[in-house]
Amino acid sequence: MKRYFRIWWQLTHVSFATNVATVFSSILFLAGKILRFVFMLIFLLGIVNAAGGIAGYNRIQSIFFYLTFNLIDILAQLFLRGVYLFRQKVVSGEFDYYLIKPVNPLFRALGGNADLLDLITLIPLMIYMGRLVSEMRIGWLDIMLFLFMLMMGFLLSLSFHILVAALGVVTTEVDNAIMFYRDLTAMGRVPVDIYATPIREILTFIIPVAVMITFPAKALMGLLSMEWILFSLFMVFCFLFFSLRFWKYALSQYSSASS
Amino acid sequence: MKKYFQTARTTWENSFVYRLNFVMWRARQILSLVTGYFLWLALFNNRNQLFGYSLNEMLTYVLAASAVQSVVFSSRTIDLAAVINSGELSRILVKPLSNIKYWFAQDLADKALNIIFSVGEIGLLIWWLRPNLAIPSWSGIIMFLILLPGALILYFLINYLFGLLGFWTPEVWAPRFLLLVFLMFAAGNMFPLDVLPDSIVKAINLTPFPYLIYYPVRALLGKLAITETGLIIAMTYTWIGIMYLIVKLTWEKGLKAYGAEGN
Repeated sequence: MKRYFRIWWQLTHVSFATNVATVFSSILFLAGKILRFVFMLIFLLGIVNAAGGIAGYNRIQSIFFYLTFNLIDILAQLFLRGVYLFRQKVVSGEFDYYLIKPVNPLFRALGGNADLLDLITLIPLMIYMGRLVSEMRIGWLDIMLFLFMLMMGFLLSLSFHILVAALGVVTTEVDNAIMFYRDLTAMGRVPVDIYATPIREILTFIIPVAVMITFPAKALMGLLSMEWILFSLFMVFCFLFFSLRFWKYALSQYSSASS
Repeated sequence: MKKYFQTARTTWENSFVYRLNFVMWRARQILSLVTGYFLWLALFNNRNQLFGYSLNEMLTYVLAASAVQSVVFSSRTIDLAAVINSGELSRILVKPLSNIKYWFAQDLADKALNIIFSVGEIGLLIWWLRPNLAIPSWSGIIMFLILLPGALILYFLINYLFGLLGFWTPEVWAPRFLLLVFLMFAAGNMFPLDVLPDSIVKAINLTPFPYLIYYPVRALLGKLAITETGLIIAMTYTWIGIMYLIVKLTWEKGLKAYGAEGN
């Protein structure tokens, strides 16, 4: 564990140094990320103020769903950003070097390209979330449950990233798959209750965006029953198991392009 | 003309080589459309009006904006910077081809492909969801058809300009990302700009972005008076003129800086 943390730290250090070396690009990316968040927030505030909320949730609750989506999204990008660069590693043959080193190739493929800019945007997001939580007057039990469900959400996100990485090994088709995943999770910016059947069911039982994003927010609001918590645990276990099996299968099918 | 038609045809055929790419791209557009559709349905709930739109008008806006987005925002010019950086631009320069027309031909092929699929997808969604749509009037359709080509050309020029940044820097993705963020907010593809505070709308109207999707779709819905439409048409083509001049100057300067590195 300690060894992997040291490796991750070293890789993250290099990644951060890259950000600092390309100052102009980094500033523009940071500006873009902040503006994207702010613009969407302005839009959501505009519509929930006019409509009084979304799908029975009040203004603050509606905004909190959006913030939870952002939190999961940023955490995934912070720790699993390697998947965006993975296709190039497979196509160029650099993935071969991952396989021969005494480090789990999956860890190497997904981790280690942490974005400093995401860390910068994470801090004000968490401050804003904290402010909303204090406005909603949430008890400590609900906060603990929220953190637990957030961890489940992150593990689900990890499963999806593993699936995409495995797909990249088998087909080299990563870029569209990961963007498709991000567009899918973007449907969780608002509570999945707004979607009609069968979309809501698909987002809950098949591609569990609801478990990833809506459930943690609902847990904080005290709206998540024990049945749904147990269901979330079951989904996380199934997805993690299946994604790791698929990764193992993908490795067995891998034939190097060149190195 | 024949060579640009062949360019468009080749681009069309290339799209079917990477089929999974294309299918994923269309799937992403459907997701975006479905999210917007259900969000507005949930917001209206039992309301008759929001931001000056009835439910029928808002749902029509969402569907129409999605179709217009498929036409206006689909582009191959996104590859221009990489072509310049890799030195591949030399291949185009030595041929009897105008670079801007070459890329425009590719864009048109991409747009043609996307609109065919977009119309099919929206048709399927309408068949499944059976929304009550606001039927546009003939004058609305005519105004829309006048504004649409302008939007098409305007976005091409904006995209082309950002592609020309490749003459000076390999890091084109950062400014392009910023452009995409502004487009997401200011073009009107996600939501009509009426949702935003007046001060922000006034600021956005100083940019070319609302003429890409927001005003054409508003024209289609019959929410623009004749005089207002005349002004919008004038502004659209003024922006096209301005962007064309900037593109022309940038291209001339860029050619002087071009070193064909990598080729």
